[in-house]
Amino acid sequence: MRRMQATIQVFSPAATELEINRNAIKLAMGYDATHAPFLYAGLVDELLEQAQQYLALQTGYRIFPPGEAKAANGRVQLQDTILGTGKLIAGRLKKIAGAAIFTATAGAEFDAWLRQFFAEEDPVSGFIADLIGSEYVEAAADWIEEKISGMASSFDLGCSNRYSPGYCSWNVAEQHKLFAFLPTGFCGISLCDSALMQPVKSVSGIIGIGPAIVKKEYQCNICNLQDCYKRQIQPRKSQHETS
Amino acid sequence: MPELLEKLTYAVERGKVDRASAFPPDLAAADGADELTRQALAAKISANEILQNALMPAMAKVGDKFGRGEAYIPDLLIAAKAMNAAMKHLQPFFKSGAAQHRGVVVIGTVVGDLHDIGKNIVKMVLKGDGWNVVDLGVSAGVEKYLAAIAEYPGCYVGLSALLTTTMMQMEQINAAIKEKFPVTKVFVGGAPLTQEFNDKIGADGYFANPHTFTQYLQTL
Ligand code: B12
Repeated sequence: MRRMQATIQVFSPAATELEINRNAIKLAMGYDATHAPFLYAGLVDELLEQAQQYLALQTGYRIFPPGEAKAANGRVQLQDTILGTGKLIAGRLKKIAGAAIFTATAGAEFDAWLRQFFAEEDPVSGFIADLIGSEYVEAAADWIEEKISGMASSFDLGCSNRYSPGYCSWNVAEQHKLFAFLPTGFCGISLCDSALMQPVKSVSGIIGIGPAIVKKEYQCNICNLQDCYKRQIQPRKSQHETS
Repeated sequence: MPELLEKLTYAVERGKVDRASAFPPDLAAADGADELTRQALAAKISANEILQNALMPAMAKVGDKFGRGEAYIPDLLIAAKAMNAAMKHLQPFFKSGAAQHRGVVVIGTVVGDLHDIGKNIVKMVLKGDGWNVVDLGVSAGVEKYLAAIAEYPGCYVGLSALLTTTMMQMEQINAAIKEKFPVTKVFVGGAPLTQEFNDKIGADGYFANPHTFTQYLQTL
């Protein structure tokens, strides 16, 4: 039988390969269907188009094959490293045998593009461009999650949703443990002492892998962030449990 | 010439920056804050009157709408942008003392953090509301805050952070400010912040958005 191998891979998906949720951008701007008139649709479209030339999406993973991961009592173990994910995430991952850690970024040029709007005192465009960046990073994380699930299923293995340090009581400082497993500058991302990733439009996280894992539909009620705007957005998939 | 000031109030409230700006679509060909302010000055309306009777009421109207859930952050920002277009023409009067800012707010994203979208939004709204805002940028440490407070006596301070790790820096920054400048008020904001955290570190208030922040500052 073919066995899943320990691998590290980086991809640079084209922005056009990713699915962007325009409604999510509108909702993230604060507008719902019933309240204030939404006068910014044209600007959103214009900035989405401009954004294409500044996006340099990179996303990648490191696979820990079955036998290299387990979870219990509020902790997830990857090889010899213990991750203090908290009970919620460890509970969701209790059936894992392996795992994938992943990162995704919109790239440094995108950060620079954003900043320039504020320098030119065009804060509305800056605000919208910022949301576009977040949306693309989330979409890149969706993309890598699909890739990982696709690969796992070719070995008859299932995958969990993705979970990120800084969410569901998993301390954001634990990103240092994840990055210790990745080559320096993985996907062009560096991690500061404060656990801030650079470029700013970046995410990191873990996905559980195992024969007995079945992906659960996303449920907002597992997270305690009551006023998160994402609660109002149609779930794109597994979003919300990660940034 | 109250009609001109009314027009100016409306332009700022709707975020009409100048004649060339396409926003808002229903005011496409109209004069904006830029032209109307010039016209008001040419009509010998004083800078202070323009500020007090046209610009500030406009921002107050948008702020009220925001408070009632009838406007959102982009509406505050576009109005602030129009306000700034008007303010450019009033700058000489601020310099000569003929017009006055509400006061000075020193604002920065704390050391270790590079997230500045929230801080930049607060800055724009405060500026639009008539404050002189001194922006210390991102990853600003204690020394920068202390130097700015020394330069602008009587200023208020705003600290911003997006991560729980960097939020912790606020405790030290606030303590250092309080030690050297005991009467300086320090306010905190950013996604992971809470009033509880504010109280724990002994800061002077947490605000979830720039509107409630500037409203409060105006009461001090
Ligand atoms: C969009 C988003 C992202 C985007 C980008 C964020 C950005 N700004 O660039 C992406 C997807 C890239 C992302 C990534 C991550 N994120 Co995130 N993200 C969010 C989210 C959903 C919204 C943040 C946002 O941009 N809001 C819009 C801006 C305008 O709001 P704001 O910055 O808060 O500022 C407003 C107010 O706070 C206030 N304000 C701000 N500063 C100040 C200062 C003063 C003085 C005052 C009065 C007011 C004030 O006024 C502003 C305007 O209203 C929040 C959750 C939430 N609902 O807030 C999580 C959140 C910020 N993320 C979080 C985390 C953990 C992460 C990651 C570490 C996850 C991961 N492991 O990948 C990464 C870190 C990225 C990095 N570079 O290191 C946590 C942070 C808390 C923590 N645990 O540390 C949050 C709070 C979610 C949670 N778990 O509760 N994230």
